[in-house]
Amino acid sequence: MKDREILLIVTSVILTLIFSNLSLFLKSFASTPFASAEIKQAARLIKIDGFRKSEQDFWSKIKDINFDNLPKEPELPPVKTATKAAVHPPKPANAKKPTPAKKTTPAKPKLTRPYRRFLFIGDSVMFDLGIQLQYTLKKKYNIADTKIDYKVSTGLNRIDYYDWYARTRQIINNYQPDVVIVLFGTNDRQNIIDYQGKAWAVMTKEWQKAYQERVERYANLLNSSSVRKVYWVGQSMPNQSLYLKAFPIMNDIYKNASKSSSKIEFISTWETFAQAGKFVPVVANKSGKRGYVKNNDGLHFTSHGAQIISDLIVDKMAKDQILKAPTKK
Amino acid sequence: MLFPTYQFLVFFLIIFSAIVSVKPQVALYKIVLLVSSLLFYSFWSFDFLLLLIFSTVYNYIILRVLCKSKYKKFALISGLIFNIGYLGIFKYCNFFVTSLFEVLNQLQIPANFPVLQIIAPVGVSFYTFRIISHLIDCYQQKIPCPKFVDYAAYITYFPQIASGPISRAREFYSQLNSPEKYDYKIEEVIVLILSGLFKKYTLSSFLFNFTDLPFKVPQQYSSIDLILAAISYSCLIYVDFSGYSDLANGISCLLGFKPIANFNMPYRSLSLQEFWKRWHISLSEWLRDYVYFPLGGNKYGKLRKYVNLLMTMAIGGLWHGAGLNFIFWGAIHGLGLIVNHLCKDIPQAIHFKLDYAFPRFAKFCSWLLTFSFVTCSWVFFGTPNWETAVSFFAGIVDPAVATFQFNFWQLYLVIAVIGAINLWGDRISQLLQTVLSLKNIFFRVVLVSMLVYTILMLGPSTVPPFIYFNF
Repeated sequence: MKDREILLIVTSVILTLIFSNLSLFLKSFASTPFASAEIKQAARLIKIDGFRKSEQDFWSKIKDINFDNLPKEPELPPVKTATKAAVHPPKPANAKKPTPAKKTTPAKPKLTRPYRRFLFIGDSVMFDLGIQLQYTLKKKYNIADTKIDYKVSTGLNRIDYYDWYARTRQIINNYQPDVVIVLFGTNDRQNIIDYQGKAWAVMTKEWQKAYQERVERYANLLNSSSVRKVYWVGQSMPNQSLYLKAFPIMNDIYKNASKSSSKIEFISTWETFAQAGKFVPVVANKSGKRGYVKNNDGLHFTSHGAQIISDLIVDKMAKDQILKAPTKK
Repeated sequence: MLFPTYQFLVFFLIIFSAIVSVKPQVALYKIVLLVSSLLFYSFWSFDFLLLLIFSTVYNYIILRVLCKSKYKKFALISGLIFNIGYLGIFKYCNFFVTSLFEVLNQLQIPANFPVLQIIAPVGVSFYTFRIISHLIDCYQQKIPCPKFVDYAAYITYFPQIASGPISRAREFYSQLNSPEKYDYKIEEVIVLILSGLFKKYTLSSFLFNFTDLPFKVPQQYSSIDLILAAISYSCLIYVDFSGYSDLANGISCLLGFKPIANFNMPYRSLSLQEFWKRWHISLSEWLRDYVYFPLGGNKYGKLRKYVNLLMTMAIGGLWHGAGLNFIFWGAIHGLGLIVNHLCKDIPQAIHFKLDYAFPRFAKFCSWLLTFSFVTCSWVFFGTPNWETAVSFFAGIVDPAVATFQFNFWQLYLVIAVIGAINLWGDRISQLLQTVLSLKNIFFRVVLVSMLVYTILMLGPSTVPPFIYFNF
């Protein structure tokens, strides 16, 4: 009798849960091994609304960003590739045309104010790197105004899961960084839905095109923002065969997107942990100390690996005169 | 497969129906239980399942040799070496390799070790501890050699495999071989499951976001934020782990087993000794019986007792994770327990009896001291390394950030609720059981459905994994 009652209760609880949030149930079912690829694909189109939005708003407050005062960003149309207008700001109508005959040396940009605020954007890999960057900037350059804005299991592929466009606009508006360092890609090796709503299998040509659109749109967003300099950090060589093919393709996409923008510079890290095209698990840092560079998963940096990449970025920023050694009193 | 998921609900519905119908036929019941456990475990990973089967079969052979041959001691030692080695490979290998690498690096000796991509099977610490205690119990002839099906059902028992409680073989076998199921009360089971869901799904998931970042980058938070994060972590680890234990116990009741007390309102403890009698009781008792007593316990004088306490707690710390911070966490609890014992032993030795002028205030001070000590020790447990733990404490004293970020009434409410659970948990449970002991089945079904729905709506749409799955 007792057991029957328990059966009745469990069944009714299941039914209550299913009917109260059918979309969540369908998504949950699609994540099981029983669901076919088609069901998984279809489940990605199901949106869980309301609950997630209010929840995200709450947790955003914890991360020091006031989302309440910000207007909702409208969805942007797909980016047209290779259009100069998207890259360069429009010129005024009475602007003089440059005279090609006169060769003038480009005037050096006058730095009216120092670069003081640094923002690190990306996924969990960026988090490991960001901590190291924060430490190095504070220790070497006495820069404490830094922020890591990361979200695990996200990237530029699954904007339906986490909208990095909206998030980046909001955090740039709020934090007003001078320099942004971006690292994405670890979670992007999955099927993609392009702006026309078509799904493409991972690493196909169509996938690459759709992903390129995503990246270029993000690059344009950064380029048109108030940020003065952006460094897009490429993926370093992974210790996982699954990503060996994908990362060079992604790196090319990031590199090309950076090329078409005046503010963005691509930093290649592919060779940092590689020797003769193969991954090297133990690498020496600048002071000659050797250590493991990647964690067990072959993707995330160890603190030693993060230090090496961080040094690479910091050196680049110093070379670009974004960082200047603090004057000793 | 996690407990609070649709997958598990459907899985459980099928398993429960099958078990209820076959329980009187004990032999069949055992097979159904074993197959269910293996099926449950296979959802994590098929490779993990193969390892579990290998470990179970290999240990059963050792157990047979131990029980049936004259080479008992040899079988025991080889069994212990195998299991400690098994745990060492899957849990501690990378820790030892990287530690050795660091030492060689400091000595400037070039070394190139391959990076081993070893992922510890789910619940490896829990099932290995069960295997070890079974070996010792058989060696000490506390229990006879079981049948293979019984042994396999015990080791792989699915409600307890991922995060305990660590049940004892004797009690398990007596219930397994009984044609009668444990006579549970419906309201008792419902309260256990609702409590587990509420603790895990609502409270733990909420607190996760207040502890995740401060424990990784304490330099980004103000002093008061860090204090709140430390208190939140104390609350989080309690609700996360005791929530799992409640769910495991609730499910165990339905499958025919008596629940095992694992948490008994630990944060109301007035001393560290009392805390360890209330926190993770099944592990504390396991460490007492299979580490502290074999080391000599308190049989060889006071000094030896203190050394044994320190060693037991350091081993307990290492059991929780492969890292110096876990050993340190265990060791400071060991030192705390030594101080606790000294506070009792010294007045006893000099025949001194302390009378407090304000006993309530003294009690409050004892509670505050115990809770503060436990909370500070969790910082070493929760931070990824020693340096972060140090900067966490440095941030409390001398913060780099002045802005108070965690000033949310929801956080205070959650901490207050967890405080109430620790103070009056038994009474709240009793009250809920009275409310749920309705005679009318229809109302009971509606009430439970509404409560589950409310708990899930209060929780987030993504639930972080159980902390103790890492151990």
